[in-house]
Amino acid sequence: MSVKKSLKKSFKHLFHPRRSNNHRSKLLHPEYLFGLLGTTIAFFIVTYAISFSDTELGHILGYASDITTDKVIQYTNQERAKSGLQQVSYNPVLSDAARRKAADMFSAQYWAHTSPSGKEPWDFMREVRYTYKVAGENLARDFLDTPSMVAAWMNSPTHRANIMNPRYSEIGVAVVNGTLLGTETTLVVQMFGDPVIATAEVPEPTTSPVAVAQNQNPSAEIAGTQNVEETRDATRAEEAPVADDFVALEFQEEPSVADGPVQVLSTIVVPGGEISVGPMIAPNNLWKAFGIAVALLLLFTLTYDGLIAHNRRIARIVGKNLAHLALFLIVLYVLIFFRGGVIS
Amino acid sequence: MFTEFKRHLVSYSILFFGFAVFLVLFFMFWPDHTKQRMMSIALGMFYFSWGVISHVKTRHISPHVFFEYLGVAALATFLLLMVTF
Repeated sequence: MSVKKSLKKSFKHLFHPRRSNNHRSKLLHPEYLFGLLGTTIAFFIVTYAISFSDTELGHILGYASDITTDKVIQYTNQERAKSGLQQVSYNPVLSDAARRKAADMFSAQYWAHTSPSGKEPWDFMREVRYTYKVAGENLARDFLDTPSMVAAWMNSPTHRANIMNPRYSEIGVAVVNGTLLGTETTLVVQMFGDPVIATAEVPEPTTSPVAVAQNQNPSAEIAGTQNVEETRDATRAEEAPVADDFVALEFQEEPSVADGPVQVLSTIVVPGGEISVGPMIAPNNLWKAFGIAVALLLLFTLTYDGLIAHNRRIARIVGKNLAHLALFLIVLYVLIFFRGGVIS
Repeated sequence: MFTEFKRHLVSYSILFFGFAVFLVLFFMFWPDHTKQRMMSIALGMFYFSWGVISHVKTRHISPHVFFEYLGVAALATFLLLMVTF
């Protein structure tokens, strides 16, 4: 038997209801369905492991987004404008604090508002000598575009409260690419503040914040934002010790400001581990594509099998094709319209 | 297919209502992936139960049908779970 004939026979056996497959497409038999499930699980495990590995192939997998600081500020102000709130203006000092926070998260490898060493968002603001009456922070990672990310924040009550807080007048944003907890990602740090007008005499700081709103749902993946209110000037922070193994972090383009120079690709040096930039494929998109392919294959097989069985009036005791079709159409819809990303 | 749908109208209405509830809740819970995963598992369990019950009621149940629903439900659930990571 020629290879062509053999392939044709296998193909028919797989899709065409006939005596060899008990008049039901072989792909819809339980053993083949479990085989397909096993293949999907294997594919997921292999790509997941690769994305975590420190290999050339591993660096190809990651989240590459088109999020920019300009867009984050633009979409944030759009949301505020909808509620008639005043726009928050870009503050380069606050953005510097946000960058330091992002750098700290990459170098110490954590995903939280407070670092493992107990450093809070406000400590980064003090480092850059940003004095505030009220301040807040939103975090996001793994998003591919700005509208999805801002929509996710608006979907969470605590993040929404930060964006819609009428007391904020300034914003600082850092959009940084790097490896966080084993995955190439785009990390976004958004800081809000209302500055204290500078006085000639710097008063002694009080010992505790006036009011602190902590995470409302710390167990969930969507942790709440933090928002602290203080009535003091920040003191000058001590210089962070710099380790021997420096890591350069490249930041995306700064937003243009009317009365200041446009800074492109600013670089700072932070201590810590190795950070690589430039993923090409988001693992989530790879899994999405694979899932869509599997769903389409089953939808095609179910439709074809149903049509052949109907035309030939084949009597058989099998699962309901209409129900299976509806289920995989739902799966296909979810896979196509699923939006990723994590906020904190 | 339409004959099948008309013959088991109540059964299919329950199924499609379940799917609609899943879709609404799944997208409502975004970006909380934990809740989305729970919804995906719930959908798989609902579908498997629906399949087995509807076949038991029509006395068309067999090990083959049982495992077919199990395979389809498990595959659909895993495809949904996969993208939430």
